Order: sequence, then structure tokens, then C-alpha cells
Amino acid sequence: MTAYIIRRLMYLAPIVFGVLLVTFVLFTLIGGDISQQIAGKHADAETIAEIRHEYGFDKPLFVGHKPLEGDEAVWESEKEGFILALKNERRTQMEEKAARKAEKSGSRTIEPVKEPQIAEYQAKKEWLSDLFWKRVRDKQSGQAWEMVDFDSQFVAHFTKAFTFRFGRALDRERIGEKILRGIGPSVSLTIPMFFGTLIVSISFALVVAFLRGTVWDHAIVILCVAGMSLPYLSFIIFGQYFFAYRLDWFPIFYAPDQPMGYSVVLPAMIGMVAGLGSNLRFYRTIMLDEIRNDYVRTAFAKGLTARRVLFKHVLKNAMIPIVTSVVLSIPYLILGSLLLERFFGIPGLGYLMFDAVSSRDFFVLNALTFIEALLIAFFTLVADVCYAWVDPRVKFD
Amino acid sequence: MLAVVFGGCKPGKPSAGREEMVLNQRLEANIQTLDPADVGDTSSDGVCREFCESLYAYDYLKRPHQVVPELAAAMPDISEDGRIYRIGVKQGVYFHDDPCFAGGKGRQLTAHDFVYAFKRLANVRVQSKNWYIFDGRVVGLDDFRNYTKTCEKDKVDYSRPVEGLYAEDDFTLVIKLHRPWPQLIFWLAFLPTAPMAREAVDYYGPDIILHPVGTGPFVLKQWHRGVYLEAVRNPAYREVYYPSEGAPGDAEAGLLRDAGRRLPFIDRVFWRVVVEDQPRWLLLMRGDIDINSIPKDNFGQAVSVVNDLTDEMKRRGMKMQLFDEPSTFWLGMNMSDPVLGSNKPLRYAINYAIDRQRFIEIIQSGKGRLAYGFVPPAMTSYDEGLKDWSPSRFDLQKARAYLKEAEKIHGGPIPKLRLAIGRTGTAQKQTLQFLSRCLTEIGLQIETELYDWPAFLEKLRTSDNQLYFSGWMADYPDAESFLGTFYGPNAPWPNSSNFHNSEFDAVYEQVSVMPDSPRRTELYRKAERIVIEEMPCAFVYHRVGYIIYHDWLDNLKADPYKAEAIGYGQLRYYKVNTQKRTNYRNNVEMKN
Repeated sequence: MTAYIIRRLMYLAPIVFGVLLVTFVLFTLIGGDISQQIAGKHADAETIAEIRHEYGFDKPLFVGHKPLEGDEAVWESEKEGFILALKNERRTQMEEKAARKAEKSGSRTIEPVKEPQIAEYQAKKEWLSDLFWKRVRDKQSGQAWEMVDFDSQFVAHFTKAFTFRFGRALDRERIGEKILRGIGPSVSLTIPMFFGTLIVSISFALVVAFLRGTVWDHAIVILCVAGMSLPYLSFIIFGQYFFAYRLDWFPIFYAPDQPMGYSVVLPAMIGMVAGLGSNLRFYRTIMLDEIRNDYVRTAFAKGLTARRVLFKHVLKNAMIPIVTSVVLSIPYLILGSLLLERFFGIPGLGYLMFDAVSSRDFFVLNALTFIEALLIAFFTLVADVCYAWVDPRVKFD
Repeated sequence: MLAVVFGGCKPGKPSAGREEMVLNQRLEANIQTLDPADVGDTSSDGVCREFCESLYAYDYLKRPHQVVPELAAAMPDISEDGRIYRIGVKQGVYFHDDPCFAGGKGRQLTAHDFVYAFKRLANVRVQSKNWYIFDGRVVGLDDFRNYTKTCEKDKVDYSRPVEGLYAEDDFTLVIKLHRPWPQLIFWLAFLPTAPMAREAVDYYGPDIILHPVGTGPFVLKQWHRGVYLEAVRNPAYREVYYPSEGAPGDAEAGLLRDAGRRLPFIDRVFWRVVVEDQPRWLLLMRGDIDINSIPKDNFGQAVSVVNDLTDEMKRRGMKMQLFDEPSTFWLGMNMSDPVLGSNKPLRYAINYAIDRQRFIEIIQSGKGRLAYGFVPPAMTSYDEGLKDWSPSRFDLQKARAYLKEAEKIHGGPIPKLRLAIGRTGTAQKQTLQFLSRCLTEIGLQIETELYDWPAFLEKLRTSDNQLYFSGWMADYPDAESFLGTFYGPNAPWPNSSNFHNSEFDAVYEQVSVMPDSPRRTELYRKAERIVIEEMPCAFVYHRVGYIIYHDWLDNLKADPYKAEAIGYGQLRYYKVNTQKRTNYRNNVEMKN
């Protein structure tokens, strides 16, 4: 068992590496440079350069080239000429592109191209790259090697993740603080919701499985399918309007002067009802598989009551899939519920995630994705270990 | 159990104390920052304005808008050539009490605090979103900015002199400009030019965004980011009185009842962040928030076909104000695009193809006015004569005729055109659908593209677009704000249609240094006609703003320049009849 857990923990390493690589590709390579967005719509090049520096966007992506002693002075003397040459090169490219475009669209006139803009840091990057390859070609490989700069965006991405120091969000608040603050509200919403759904749907599933083939069974299955087909949002909109506003049984929105517990009752119930359809059907299938077994018939034949058969014998044997789904749900519980939190103003992680998506806050998204991935990997392991606990037949070899 | 766990973090009850006057405000977006130098969005601006003041402000009641001194002792003393501003700073104004000051007592405001604040905008290490205000304007300030580039963060020497920005004595601020800049007065009424206490910046470091230490009528009490803010009346606020003169009709509307009374009236303000429309509307109906804009889905419930409140709203005692926003929305055409830029008849065809009246009815629920040009009717230089002259109108026959001509110029059928919009909500999708249907109606082929807002801005900035739906809202009551969006050197931003016209540019350069005069208005109109004639944009509509609020809120006058952010930044004038609110809340029928 211990060996198995250790082995599984070692498997985590490549998974985490993979996750980091994927988040890096998603948020840094594809997401692009958001310094413009941070700087505001009226920003000038200098402010953007400053922001790029502060957030490390000016570092090389994976590995880059850094100047050696003496190179800086050469750069200063060659700077102007190099930028000019680069501009000319860029202009020629643009002119060729414009000519091709005109040809393609059948237009007779070729649009004059705009003056290419090249920032100094871009030019310097290219210059250093040229210098690096020149040294490699000239077999000055020792010097070229010394130029390799490992202080890259990718390394920073790793360091941030492993030290759990995610830095500041776009609104300049510490991401760690944001996340810690959000866990409480999220969990206070999702845990009652989750256990409520679990208890209600398992109890109903047992009853429905027992009544299989009757009108009740059909009616409940139809209701389940109907519930699953309705969009989640419609439950929220209806629930909020009817129970909170019309009937005034619950608060419409999280009120800071009231305890969190009071504000989460309605969203938790809405979440329960919305999730009931799929859960009930899932557990009904499991129960049906179980209820057809020989031991159930034997138990009934022995004269045990229906309640005893269902809750003592059937439920115990149906535990494996139930435990799997429960344990695997835990990471999602921590992450909260995007829509419920947004509509009811519960300041949890779901709300944070929604906000980060709409404001393109890649720093927050990155942190949340990484934490979530870790949790999922960890709880998958826990689920596997739990099998042994509920089913003695499972062995770890 | 949860109640016990989370009960600990509950703030003071909003309705504590009988005489306390509490206002329940709503925010439609998160507050990003409360540092005036860092403010770049409407919500942050509105809230921060309750804590920080600037040299000048707009008269609360008078229309057209009139600049009045706020922290300045009087209107600026401007040199003959319009280049030197000498501004007296009010004496006896104190910063909020804050631990950053010696003994926790706010110190007196001086002209040095303005010098520091403006230099802070220029400091590149601060990464202010608002440097553009002074960029290339004040003598020596750009050099100061260059100097900050050589400094480490937090090592900038603010005592370094700037030729065109200094305090002559403790209460006189001097600003010297490279060339006349009549709009400076509006920028001095702008939140980012609010004075900063150096003590606060040094004390709080990067967390200054959480601590607005200003001179305003309210003091921030607590801020739970993303959830709510609470502010209380500043007990040391100087003597400021409700205006005793207003615009015609203000007296009849009861807006002068409190004339001459000391401000502010409200003791406590709550801002709740409610991003989704439905809960915000339900909270308004319940009486839990006092004021709101009207969400699209609830428009029919609130406003009747004749632009009046519905009976249901009247029964609830709701009030509504309508106002022309200083905004214009247009279908922009990228002039640097080879298909559109060199084909004027094509641009005319697109212009004539848009059924603006139906656009306003369907997409805007009637909340708009037809646009004949870009200067909106809310501005004094609005040109009534455009209505008859402007080609900016819907005419299918003309559209088709121009399209034929355009195809001749192009040498074949017009290729498929891309039509882009920023933001990806339902309203934007409907806008695109509508516009693309108008254009396909005359035989054009359109491909629609939806981008999120930052991506859309990026497209405009790099001119990677053909047709796009966009607009502009004036920052200040001067049409110069609009003219700048067509000035050649401003391409591609804010001149996102990449419009280049030497005649227009010459007029713009002439008017941008002219103080207000009938001659200037005449030139504004001339410039506007040059643009319309060249048609880099098909002007579609000017938005009409709506605001709805409960009748227990008094002294509310909509400010079009705040648009959907109504009630942001002017709370000192508001008054709440708490008895009325209690009655409403206790009346079950009203509530539901």
C-alpha cells in the first residue's frame, strides 16, 4: 500500500510538469502580451515598456541571450544603425505583403505602408540573438554558452507555481490573498449543496430502484431527464426571482451585514435541485445493477425488511462508484460554482474565476488552474486508495 | 454552524442609529483601484471621486456644463498668450485623518501636493494610466519623465525642479505650457489630477490603491474587494454649500429646495458590487438599493412606449430621468484598408444602407437619437443644420447606386468585408446581425467577428480591421474631444478609422489652441463637415441615457458626462428620506 502511494505520488511529477507546460502555452504564448491592457487605453510606449519589465514580459520565453561584459558598449555604438537596418528590413517585408494583398484582391493600387515601429528592447533582443549565433559559428562556444540566460518567463512560471507565490493580480491585490479569502465562501456554498444532493439522490435512487418498472419509477426518470435538459441558468433565474424576490424567503443577494450562512441557503438549494436529475439517474443505475444480484434475493428470501436490505446490504456494495464520484468532486467543491456565486454575490473562488475570465486576468486564471490541477491529481489518488477501504477485494500490486 | 463561522466578519449594520442617513449604491463592475493616478475605468473613477477632489469641478445644476473652482480658490489666472496658468489653492482644506500623517490628523492641503501629484503621473515607474493628459504639454515635465526612466523604483527625486510646474508659494500653483491648451481647465476637473499627499504614498507603498487619502466629503471605512465598499461622512470636511442657482426648470423639479445648505447630507454610503442585471434589478425593486440604470431585459417593465414610467413603476413611486449622452456610435471604416480607403462610393453605399431608425428601435429599445454627424446634441457646438445637409441617412436606392459605382472603381465585385465589434454579449451579437443584414441587403458580403474588449482594442491599434462598430463619448464638454478622433497624427488610436485629411488636420491644429468663441464653434462645424463628406465612418446614433431611482432619493440630477455611472461621484448633493424608504420596505405589496 505504502509502495503504491509512493509510486503514485511519483507519477504526479510528470502530470504537474505537463500542467505547467499547458498553462504556460495557454496563458503566455497564446494569451499574449497583456501589458497594453494593464496600461490602459491611452498608454504610451514607455509605460508599456515599464509594465513589460515589471511583469517580466520582456524576459525571453524559454532561454535567451544576455550581453557579456563589453557587449553593452558595442550595442550602444551600433544601436542606431542596427535599428535603422531592422526598420528597412521590416518595411521591405511590409511592402511585399501589401503588394501580394493588392494582387490577391485585384486592386490596382498598392497601399503605402506605415512606418514600422521598433522598440529598443526588441532591437536589442535581435541584436543579441545575432551575436549569439555569430559566436557559435565562430566556434567561440565558451563565450556563447556564457551568454545563455536562463532567467526566462518559463522559469518564472515554474518558480511561481512551486513556491505558491503567484504575485499580484491585475487589480494589484495579492493573488494568494484573493484565493484564501475565496475558499471559505465557496466551500460554505458547495459543501452543503454537495452533501444535500448526495443524500437526497442516493436515498431516492434506492427507493426508485426498489420500485423499478412502476409508474413512480417512470415518473421520476422523466422528471430527472427534464431537470437535466433545463439550462442551469434558468434554475438560478427562476429560483432567485420566485423564492427570494416574490416569496421573500431568502435574501436576493449576499448582504455584507448578514452572515454568509444565511445567504448561501437559496443558492445551495438551487444547486441541489439543478444537480438532482443527473445524480439521481446515475445512482439509480448503480443501485439497479446491485439490486439484481443474487445476495439481494437471498436477503429478501431470508425475510429481511426492504429497508434493511436496501440500506445495509445494497448501499454498502454500491459504495465503490459512489466513493469515486464523491472524492473526485472534492476539488470542484473548493473551486466553487461560477454561476451561482456570480448571481448571488457569494465572494468565492467561482466568482473570482468568472471575474478573471472577463477581465483577462491571466495571472489569477493561471494560479487557479494550477491549484485545481494539483487538487484533481491528488484526489484521484485518494479515490484509488479509498477503493481498498470500501472494497477488501481491491489489492495494490 | 455556518452562521457562527461567518458571523464574525459582519460589518456594522447599515441601518444603525435612527437619524443616520444611509445611501445604498450599486456598482456594475468591480472597483480596480482607488489611487487617482491609477484610475482608468468608470466605476473606480466614480467611487474614488467621493474621497478625492480636484482643482475644478462642474457646477452640479447648471447646463450647459460650467467649470467652477473646487480646491482652487478661483478660476485660473491665464497669461495673455494662454501659456501660463497661475492657480490659487483654497486655504483651510485638510486631508482625511489617516495614520500616514503625524498624529493621525490630516494636514492642510498646499500647492505642493498638486506638483507632487502631477509629477507622480509623469513618473514612468508609477505606471500611471493617465500620463497621456500631460504628455508633451507642460514645459519640462517630459524631461522629468525621461529622468525617472533612469531611476530605480521608489528612488525618484520629486524635489527635482520642473520649469513649467511649481508652487510659487504654499497656495499658488503655476503651470507653464508649450502652447496654449484651452482644454486644460477640463483636465484639472478630472480625477487623475487630484492632489496627492506624499506621506500617504510613502506610507502605503503599492497598497496606496486601497487607501484613498483625499480631501473629499467621504472617508473610506472598509472595502471588501469585489463585494462592497462602505464610506462615512468626512467629519472634517470644509464648509461647502448646495448651489443656489440652477438651470431653467430646476426649481420646479425641487432641485433648489436645499439651496445654501451645508454638504454633504448623507452620513454613510454602501456600494454593493452587483454585476448581473437580474439581482441588481430585484434589489432595486425590493428597495435594497436606491438607484440603478435600466437593464435591457427589464426595459419593458419599467418604461412605456411613450418613454414614460409604466404604471407599475409609478405605483412604486419610482422616478426616471432621461438625458442625451455626449456620445456617438458609428460603423467605422478603416481608411488604410485597400478596399475601403480608396473607394469613397463604397463608403457612401455602406452609409446609406444602414437603417438607423430601426437600429435605434430594435437594438437600443428606442434609447437613442439619429446621428447626422459626430458631435452629439448634448454639446453646445451641435450643428442643427446638419439634419438637412448630411448624407448620413438611410436610403436604399442611393446605397445600391453607389455600390454600382464602387464596383466600377474596384474593377469587379467588392470582396467579402469583415465587420468587427468589441465585447461578446447578446447586445453586440444583435448589433452585428442587424448591421450585416443591412449591408447584405444592398448586395455586400459580410463576415462578422466578435472580440473581447482588449482584443478589439488591439485590432484597432494595429489597424487590423475593415469595418468595425465603435463609438466615442466625450471626456469633457468640448467638441474638441471628438475632433481628436479624426486627427491624422492620432491614427491608429484614437483615430481608429485612420482618417487622414490635410484640410481637416489644419483646422484641428488651429482650433485646438483656441479658447471658446463663436469663431471656434464655426471652425468645429467646418471640420465636422469635412469628415462627414469623406465618410470614414457611418454615424449611426447618439445614446440617450436612462436612470431610475426611488422617490426617497432627493436632489438627483443626471449628469450626462457620467452616463451609466449616474450617481457616481456626486453623492455629496444627494439626500435620502429614510422614512419613505422604511415605509416602502414594510409595505409587502410594494416590495413584490
